[in-house]
Amino acid sequence: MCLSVPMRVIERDPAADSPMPMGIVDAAGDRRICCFAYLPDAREGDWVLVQGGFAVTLLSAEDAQLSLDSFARFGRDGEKRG
Amino acid sequence: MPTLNIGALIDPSAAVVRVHRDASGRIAEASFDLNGVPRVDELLKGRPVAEVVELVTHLCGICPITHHLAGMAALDQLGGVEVLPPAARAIRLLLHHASVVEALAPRFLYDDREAAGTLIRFAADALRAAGCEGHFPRVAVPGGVSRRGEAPTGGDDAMLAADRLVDLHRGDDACEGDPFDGINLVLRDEEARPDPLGSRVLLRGRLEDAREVAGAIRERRLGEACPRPVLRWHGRDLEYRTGPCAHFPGLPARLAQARVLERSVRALTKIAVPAGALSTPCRPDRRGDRGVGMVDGPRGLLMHDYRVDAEGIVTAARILSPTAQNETWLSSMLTTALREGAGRSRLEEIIRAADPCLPCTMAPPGQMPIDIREGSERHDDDQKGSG
Repeated sequence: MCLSVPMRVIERDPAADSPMPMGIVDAAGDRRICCFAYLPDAREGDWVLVQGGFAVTLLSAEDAQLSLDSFARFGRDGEKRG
Repeated sequence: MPTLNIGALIDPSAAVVRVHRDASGRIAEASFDLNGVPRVDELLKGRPVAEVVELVTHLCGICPITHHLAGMAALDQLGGVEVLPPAARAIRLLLHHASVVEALAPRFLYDDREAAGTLIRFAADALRAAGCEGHFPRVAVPGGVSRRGEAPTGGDDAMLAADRLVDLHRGDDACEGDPFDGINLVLRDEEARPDPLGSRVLLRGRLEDAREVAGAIRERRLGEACPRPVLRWHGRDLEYRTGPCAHFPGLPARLAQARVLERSVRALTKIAVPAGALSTPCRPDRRGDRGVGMVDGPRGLLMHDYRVDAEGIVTAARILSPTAQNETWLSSMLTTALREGAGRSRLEEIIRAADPCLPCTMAPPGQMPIDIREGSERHDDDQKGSG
């Protein structure tokens, strides 16, 4: 199934009119360069869903946390059971 | 225990087409790589079934409403609720159709920015009116819905915009890959009309029980990201596809997508939420059983299939996305095209027709990143099978 990871926008490329605007996103200290071609209006501090190197959806902080908790639950449950 | 490789999900990836050749160098097969769309089924075992539906909805940021509705339909069945209260069904339908418009309208931004923009705003209004306030829905509950929703306003403008998109693509060339000689799998109601939450499918002219058909889907690559499902029906293996091209076989893919979009806009203008109960009380975690939920989403049929023990714990899970189900059809089209020496623009058209749930399909026309790789990751499809 299609999975996408909530990440916070840390930095945006100042060349906002670029056809492939880039930026840096972060999730729990894991930072990645990401393309904002599909979300050109995303700003530093926003939460976005990232899939395959692209920011694809803008998220509220609450929804981002819901999704992050779901990803984290796999690890926690695995540890409990393991 | 298996784990999710988060890095693989977020790192840049193009549409990867793998080309496999025979000893003489001829293209034996081209396949569309689905490693960016992993299976989570094994990770769901051992968890309470209600939690699993919530988990899956929150993991899939691209089509959370379709997962929410399919998962809840599986919980309905586990709770013994076969027929939803009319108000609950109407609200779930509103939510579904709004999600279809939300998913498909951006595909037309490069054709008619104004019409697509009208539809994107209409979808946002429709989602709010149906009770979905954030990105992740909390509307459906086992046996119904938790809140009353209503039809959106602004339907007339949205209808005009959808009609414009249909008109724009009426003259498109025929759909790549058609005539498709397999099964076009579409959920239907008891009268054989398309119904995204329906319990029937039309199979070789007969109206069959959709859950029975879902149970007949075998994976030739069991549990893999690219499962190559086939419908084993009365002793025969039938290839199938799902999504807009299955709804409108023979139509060009973009026109088929526009027609599905138009149909959802029309539904949003017509559905009325009746008075009455919003849910039938049920406990899906109290009956050791099997629950299968299906929704005909924007990209096609999504299936959640859970086997649950008497404590409500998932003992087996299978989630089949439209992307995974359509890969056989997509790869077949790519194989034909590459054998004929097709260029990138045709490959892009073909990938857009099948519309896999990957960011590459959001690229502007003519700019889809496609990485054509020679060999590796070949499978012997006939070695495995599952139910």
